[in-house]
Amino acid sequence: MYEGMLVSRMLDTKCFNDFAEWYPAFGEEAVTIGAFGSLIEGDFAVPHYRGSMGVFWLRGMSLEQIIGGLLFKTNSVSLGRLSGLHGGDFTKKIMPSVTNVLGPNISSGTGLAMAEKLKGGKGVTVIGFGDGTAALGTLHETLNMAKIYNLPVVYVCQDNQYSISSRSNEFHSWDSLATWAAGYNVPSSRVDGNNILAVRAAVDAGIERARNGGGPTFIDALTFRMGGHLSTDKALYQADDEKLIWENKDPIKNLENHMLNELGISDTEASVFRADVQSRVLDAWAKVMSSESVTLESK
Amino acid sequence: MSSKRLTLREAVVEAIDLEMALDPTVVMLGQDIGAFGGPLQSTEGLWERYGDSRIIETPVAEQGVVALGIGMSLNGLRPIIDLMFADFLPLVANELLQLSANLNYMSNGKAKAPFVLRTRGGDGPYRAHPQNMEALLSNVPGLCVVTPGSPAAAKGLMVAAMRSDNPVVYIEPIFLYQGPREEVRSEQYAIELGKAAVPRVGNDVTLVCYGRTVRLMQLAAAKLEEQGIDCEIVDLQTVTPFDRATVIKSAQKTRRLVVAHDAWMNCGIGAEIVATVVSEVDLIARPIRLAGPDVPTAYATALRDNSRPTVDNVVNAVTTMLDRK
Repeated sequence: MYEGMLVSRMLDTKCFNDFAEWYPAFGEEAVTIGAFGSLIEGDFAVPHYRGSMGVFWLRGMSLEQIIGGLLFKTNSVSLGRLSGLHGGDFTKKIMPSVTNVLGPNISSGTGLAMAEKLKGGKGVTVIGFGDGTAALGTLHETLNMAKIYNLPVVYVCQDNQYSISSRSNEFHSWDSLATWAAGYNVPSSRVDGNNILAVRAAVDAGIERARNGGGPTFIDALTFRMGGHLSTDKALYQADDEKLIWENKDPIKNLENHMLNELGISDTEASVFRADVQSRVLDAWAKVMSSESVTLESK
Repeated sequence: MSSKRLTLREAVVEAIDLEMALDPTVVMLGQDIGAFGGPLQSTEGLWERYGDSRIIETPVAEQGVVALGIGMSLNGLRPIIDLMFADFLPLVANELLQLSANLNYMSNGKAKAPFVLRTRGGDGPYRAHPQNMEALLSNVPGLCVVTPGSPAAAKGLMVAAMRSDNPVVYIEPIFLYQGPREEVRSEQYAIELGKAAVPRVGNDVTLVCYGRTVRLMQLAAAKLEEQGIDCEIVDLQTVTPFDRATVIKSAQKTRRLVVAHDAWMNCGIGAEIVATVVSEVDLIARPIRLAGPDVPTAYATALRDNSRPTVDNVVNAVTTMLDRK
């Protein structure tokens, strides 16, 4: 879990610094890694785009493959056709994001669960999406169907409180999106999205329910987007005092505190580990830089 | 070899019935496809035979249902999604055009979606839901759009659609739905997607058509034969991607081209056919497109019945082209 969060943070940092257009998941790693950390072989992961690369890594894609997607290299799983954020390897049961719009992956991801149930399989599908996407009609149609067909699926709303510059509490009829899900008779809860242990516990309960034939679960994991929608957005609409509050709740620091207090892992040990992850990310990046870029002729 | 005289609707149902018996991964999703027997009896008898686990009724939630079917197709099933009428295609354009059409190419072949979206389009005796939306789906690469023009074609094309590893939109022409019967072979057979048929061979003019206008062209060709004009009919069967080779070959022979479809003229399939032919073939007459006028489809019978190409329109177009008036 710790490693996954670090991989996500370090890839984001590199991309944020290198690309004019990048959509970092700074501060949201407890949700992305917590939501998908308990899946086993045979389960499907349908991650939200923000923070997806940490999920790809967690599900077994190599750093080289992930970075290959970022740099549009032919050694990426999509042959360089999809961006790094979208290029989930479907052969590893990670749903790629082939659309340029949000929403269809929530409902088509639910179709993976529908087929699993009809085939009598044991796989569970976890679907991530943002609070902005949650207002789309397709989520509401889908929650209704997930309940009536009793599907093995866990919905995790990566509730970073922003859809670009729109504040979710101004555009949603309830404070927590879990209330919406409850309206469809889907068991739902809001959890602290900056505490990976809390996210994971809630998701684990949902996965267990799904695996035992108990149907869908909805989790609203409340977090905060630490910065703009993309690299060029200075997020002037975010209040400084609120940003400071959330900075102090950084999910990686949260986990490090837990490691220190409960497991006795010192900050020195943690920093050695951090440096190791960082060098692996940068080494892989350097290696991928020199590999073949996609062209119209690539096959 | 046994055969039966079937309507187009019965031929589609028979294709699905036989395929569901052969292939346990074929399931159907849609509204009112159970005890009701489907919109315009489009699933007659299937629920009685295959039950709730394979004939799956859904809420009125087209976007969600189409995406659900796409997801099911990614996880080992071959769903047939029954979208009641073609008027609902724009409602699910997002899922069709921006998800299913992209999957194969964008994932470099790792995520294939073998589903069929079947729907019913165009005017007909039923009178409601008269619009034709095939051109709307044809501008985006990655989708296969099929419209049968006869019962025998309907069966073979549906079988091919169900066996395709990629998305197929199968539009059943309402005008022909409960219309003329034709001998349809009882065994299961497939007609290759992307291939046109030439139901009538001739030398004077090429008549390109699909769906209802196939029958229209046949009636017109019979009348023109009385005037000594020898028509060749090219039934596209697969509207997109259409069979360029067969269309061009025919036009090279006759060097005259008439295209007819019920859908609107502007940016229609006819425009694509004409543009393709004139860039490859030296025609000896200006090509003619017959299509619906570019106005919304009205309810009034008098308006609607004068908005479809007729047999007389085709006869006039051809005789004018050959200067036989």
